Amino acid sequence: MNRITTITTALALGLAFTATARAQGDDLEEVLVHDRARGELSEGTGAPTQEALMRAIGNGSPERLIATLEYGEHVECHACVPLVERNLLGSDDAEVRRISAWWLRHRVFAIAQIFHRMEDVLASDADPVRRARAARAIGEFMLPAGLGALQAAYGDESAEVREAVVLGLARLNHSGANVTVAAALADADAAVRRAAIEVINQLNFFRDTDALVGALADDDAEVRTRAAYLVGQFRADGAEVALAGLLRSDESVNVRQAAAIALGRLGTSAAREALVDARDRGDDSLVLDAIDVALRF
Amino acid sequence: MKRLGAMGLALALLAGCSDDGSGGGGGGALGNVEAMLFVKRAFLRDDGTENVTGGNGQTIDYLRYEPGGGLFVLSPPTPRGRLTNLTEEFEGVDVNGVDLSFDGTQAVFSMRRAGDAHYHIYLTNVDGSTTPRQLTFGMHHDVKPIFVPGDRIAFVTNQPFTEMGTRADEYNHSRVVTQIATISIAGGDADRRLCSQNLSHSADPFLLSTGEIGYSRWEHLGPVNDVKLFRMNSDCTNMQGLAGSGGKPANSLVQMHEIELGRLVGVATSRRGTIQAGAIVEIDVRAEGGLGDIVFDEQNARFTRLTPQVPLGEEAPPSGVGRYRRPFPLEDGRFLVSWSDGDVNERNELAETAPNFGVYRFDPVTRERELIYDDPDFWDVYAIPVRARDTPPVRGGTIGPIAEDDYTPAVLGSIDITQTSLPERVSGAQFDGTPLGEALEQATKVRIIEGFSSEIGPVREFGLTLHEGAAIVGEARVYDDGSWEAAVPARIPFHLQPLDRYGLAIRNQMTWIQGMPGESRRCGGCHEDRTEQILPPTGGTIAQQAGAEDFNVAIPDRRELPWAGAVSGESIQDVLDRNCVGCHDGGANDPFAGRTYQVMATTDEGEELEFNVPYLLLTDEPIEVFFEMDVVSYPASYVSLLYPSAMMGEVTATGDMPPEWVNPGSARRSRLIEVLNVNAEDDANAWAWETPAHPENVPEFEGSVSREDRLRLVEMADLGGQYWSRRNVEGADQWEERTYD
Repeated sequence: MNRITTITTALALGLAFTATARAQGDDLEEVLVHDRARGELSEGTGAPTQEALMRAIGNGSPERLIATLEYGEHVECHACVPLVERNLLGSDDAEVRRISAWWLRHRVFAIAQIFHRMEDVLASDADPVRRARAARAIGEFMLPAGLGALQAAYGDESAEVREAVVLGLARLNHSGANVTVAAALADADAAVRRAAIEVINQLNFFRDTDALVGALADDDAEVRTRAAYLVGQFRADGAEVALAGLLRSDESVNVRQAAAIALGRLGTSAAREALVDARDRGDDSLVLDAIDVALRF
Repeated sequence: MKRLGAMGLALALLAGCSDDGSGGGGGGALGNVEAMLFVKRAFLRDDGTENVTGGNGQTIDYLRYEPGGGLFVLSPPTPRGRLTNLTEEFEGVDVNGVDLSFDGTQAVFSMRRAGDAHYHIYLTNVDGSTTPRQLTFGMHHDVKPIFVPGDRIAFVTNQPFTEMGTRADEYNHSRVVTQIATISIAGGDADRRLCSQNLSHSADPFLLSTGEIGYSRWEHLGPVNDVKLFRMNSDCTNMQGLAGSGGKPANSLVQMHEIELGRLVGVATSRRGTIQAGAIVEIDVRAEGGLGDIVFDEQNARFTRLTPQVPLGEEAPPSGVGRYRRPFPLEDGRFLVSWSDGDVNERNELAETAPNFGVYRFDPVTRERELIYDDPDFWDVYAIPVRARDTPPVRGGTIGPIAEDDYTPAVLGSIDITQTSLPERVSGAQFDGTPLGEALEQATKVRIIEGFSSEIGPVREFGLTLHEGAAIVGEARVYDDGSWEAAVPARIPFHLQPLDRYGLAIRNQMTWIQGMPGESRRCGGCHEDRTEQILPPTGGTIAQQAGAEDFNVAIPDRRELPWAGAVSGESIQDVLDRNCVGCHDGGANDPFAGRTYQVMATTDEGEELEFNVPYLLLTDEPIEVFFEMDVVSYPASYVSLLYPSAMMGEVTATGDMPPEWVNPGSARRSRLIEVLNVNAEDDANAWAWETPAHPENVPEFEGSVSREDRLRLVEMADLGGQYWSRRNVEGADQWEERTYD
C-alpha cells in the first residue's frame, strides 16, 4: 500500500511535497498481501514482463539481468529458460552464473532436467572450467540430490573443480557435506583449502575442531589466519600451544592478529600468558592492537 | 578514458552548477569549518578497466573492494585545500564508512587493507597525530561505523549469529546479511554486542539527537521488498519503525543524517541499479498535534524531494541532473553531498563509464551545487565537516552489561490490540470492507510467527511462494481489555497476526519485529496512533496481571507446516490424506477428475514440452516430470493448490484454469479455506463463512473434518503457503541440542 496521497510542486521553491492523511472514512483501503500479476508489492519491484526478461537476458548489463531475474522470480517465461541456462556454463561473470542458477531453481517444470544436465557436465565434461561451473550451479540449485553429485566430484583431478565443489557444498549446506569439507582442509591445493576454511561458518553442524586445529599448521597464511579465528570461535580444546607459536613467530601479521584474538577467546591462563608475553616482546602495531583487545575478553 | 587532473577539473567546476544543470555560483569554504573529512574510493583497476557496480549493486551492499583509496582530511575545505591521508601507512586501502567523534578530534572508519580479506573498524586522530588503531577483527566484515553516546561505536556487521550462520532472506543469495553491532571504544571486539537478527540487511546507521541509532533496513517479508528506516536504543532494544512504513517516495531510504530532532535528510532511490546514489529527500517524522518534539510518527512521515529532477527509480536522469550520495546537513541549512553527473545506473556498467562522484555543497533552496573537492580518478564520498557537535544523551540504562543470557526471552504484547491508526479495511469471511479497528475488536489471539530462510539447509526456497520459512512459536490469548503478552525467544525475527475466533488472521503484519533478551516490547495496540497515549490501567492490563504466556521454546517445539517429506512431525499432506484425498484423488469419485490446464516449456534443444497440471488433485503423487527425473519434487497437491497463485506475469498456461486456491499470506481470502470453512473455537456451530462447510456439504461424504485439521490449512495459507520447513532438513533433530538463535 502506498500512502503517499499527493505529490505536488510548490511553485515558490519548486520542491515536491508528499503528504499523508490520517485513517478515516473513505481513506481506508483494502490491503493485499498477494497479487499474482504484480508479484512483489513494494515500489519498483513489480514483476517484469516476459519481453523485459528476454531483453535483459539478451542485451542487458549484468546488473540489469540480476535485477530483472530477481524481480521475475516467479515469472513463467519458458522461452527464457534455455537462454538463462546457457549462462550457467557460458557466462564469465560469476554473479550472472549465480543469479541464473537461482532463477532456474524456481522453474518448476525445468529444474529437474537442468539439474541432470549439470550433473552430467560435472561428472564427464572434458573442460575443468565447465565442470567447476556446473558444481557451483548444482550448489545454487539447493536440491538435496546435489549432495551425491558434488561429493563424487571432490575426487576430480582439477583443483579448480574441487574448489568449486567445496563452495557448492557450502551453498547446499547439507549436513552430509561436512565430512567432505573437513577432508578439503587437507587438500593438496591451497585454493581448495582456502575455500574449505572459508565456508566453515556457512555449514550447519560443522564441529570438526581437530581439523581446524590441524589447519593452524597449514603452509598458506590465509588458511592459518582463518583457522585461528575459527579455533577461537569454537573454543577448541588444547589449541593454546599452537596459537601461542603462531603469535610468537608467524611471519604474517594477519596470522599473529588472529592467533591473539583466538587466545583471547580461549581465555585460559596459558592463553593469557602467551598474550602478555607477546605484548611485552613487542610487535607490529596491528598485532599489538589485537593483543590489547584479546586481553580484555 | 583520459581524465583531467584533479585540480584542473576542480577549478573548471568551481563556478558550480545546479540540480537542473543550469549552473550557479557560490563561495568556497564551509563557513567557519576549517577542514573536511572524506573518503576517496577507487574504481580504476590496475589494468585500466573500471569497477562500476562490483559489490554495490544494491543500495545496502558493502562488499565493493577496489584498493587504492583512503581516508583524507581536506583543510581548508576548498578545491585548493591541503590533503592529509590518514591511512597512508596501509597498502591496498578501501574505506567504506566514516564518522567523526563528538569533540571533532577522532575519526572512526571501516577499512579493508592489503592482506586482510575483510573490512574492520579503526580509530584515528583527525590531525594525523596517531597511527590508526584497529578495534575489530575476525572473518566477517564490520562497516559503516558511527560514534554513539557512552563511548561506544555502532556499525554494521555480517558476523554470523552462531556457528550455523545468520538468517538471510532468499534474496541474500550468499548469506551475507548484516545486522547492527556495537563495541566500546576502549575494548573493541572484547566488548562486542550484537543486535537482534533480521532476515535482510540492516545498513547505514546514523545517530539521532535522542541518543538512538537510526538505520536503514531491507525488509523482505512475502511480497514486501524495500528499504525503510528504523531506530533503536544503543543497546539494541526497542527496535521500531522510523519512516517508510506508511508510504515513501522510492523503494529505498538510505544514507540518512538527522538535521534536527525529527527531521532527516538522505537518499531515496531504487533498491538496486543506481550505484548507491539517488535523490535527496528530507523526511519529517515528527508527530503532528504538538507532540513533534516528543513523539515520532513513522506511519505519517512527510517526505520532501529536495532534488525533484533526480529520478526515484533506476531510470536515467536528464543531462546535468545526475544522482547524489550521502547528504550531510550543515549548520546553515545546506548540505555536504557527493554528486555525479550522468546516468549513474547500470548503463555505466554496460559502457564501462564509471560515475565521477565529487564533494559539493548543495543548497536546497536554490538547488545549486558548489564544488568542494573532486578528484576524477576517485569517488569522493562520505564527507563530514570537521567540527565539534553536541553529544546526545545516553539512553537510560542502555550501556550497562546485558544481564540476561541469550536464552532469556523477550516479551511481546499490546495494551489494547483494538487501538490502530492503520487506514485499512478487512474483507473475507465475516468481514466485508470492515475498518481494521472494528475488525480487531473480534481478535481473540495473536499468532507469533518466526521467520527464517534457506540458511537452514538444502531447500530451494520455500516452495511456490514469496514468503520465507515460518514457524508458529505460539498464539497468545487476547483478553477482554484487548491486552496480550507472550514471552518469546530473544533476538530472532517475528511477525504477528491477530486472529479471530475462527483462527483466521485479521491482519498480517508485514514487517519483522525482534526483542533483545529480557526486553519487554509492549505496544499500545495494533499500530496505534502515535499521537495518542495508550496507557495500561493502574495495576496493569489483564495480560500483564496474568503474566506473559511462555512461548520461549526450542526449535523442535515450534509449530512448522511442512507440506510433505518431513523428517519428523505431521505434514499438510497428512491432513489432506486424512480428509480430502478420499474424493480428490483423480478417481471416479473426484468431481475434478480429468480437469487439467497446460503449461508449456521449451527445452534447451528448442523442443516444446507440454505439462498437464491438475485443476485440483490432492494426492501426494509427484507431478510426472519430476517423478521421471528422480529429483525431489512437489506432490500434486502442492502444485495443484499453489501453482495457480504463483504464476506471475503473463502466464502461458491454457485450458481449464482453476481459481487461486490459496492466497499466500491470507487464509481469509483463500478460496480453499472459504470452501472448507472453519468453525469457531468457542462455538462449534458458528462458522466463518455463511456457506456450508465442506466436505460435510457433500451428501456422499461420511464423517467430518476436525477443527484442528481445518486450522492447519488455515495456518498454511496465513503463513504463506510454504512447502519446506526445518522439518525437511536432514539433521534437523540436532536442533534440539544445538543453539541456533
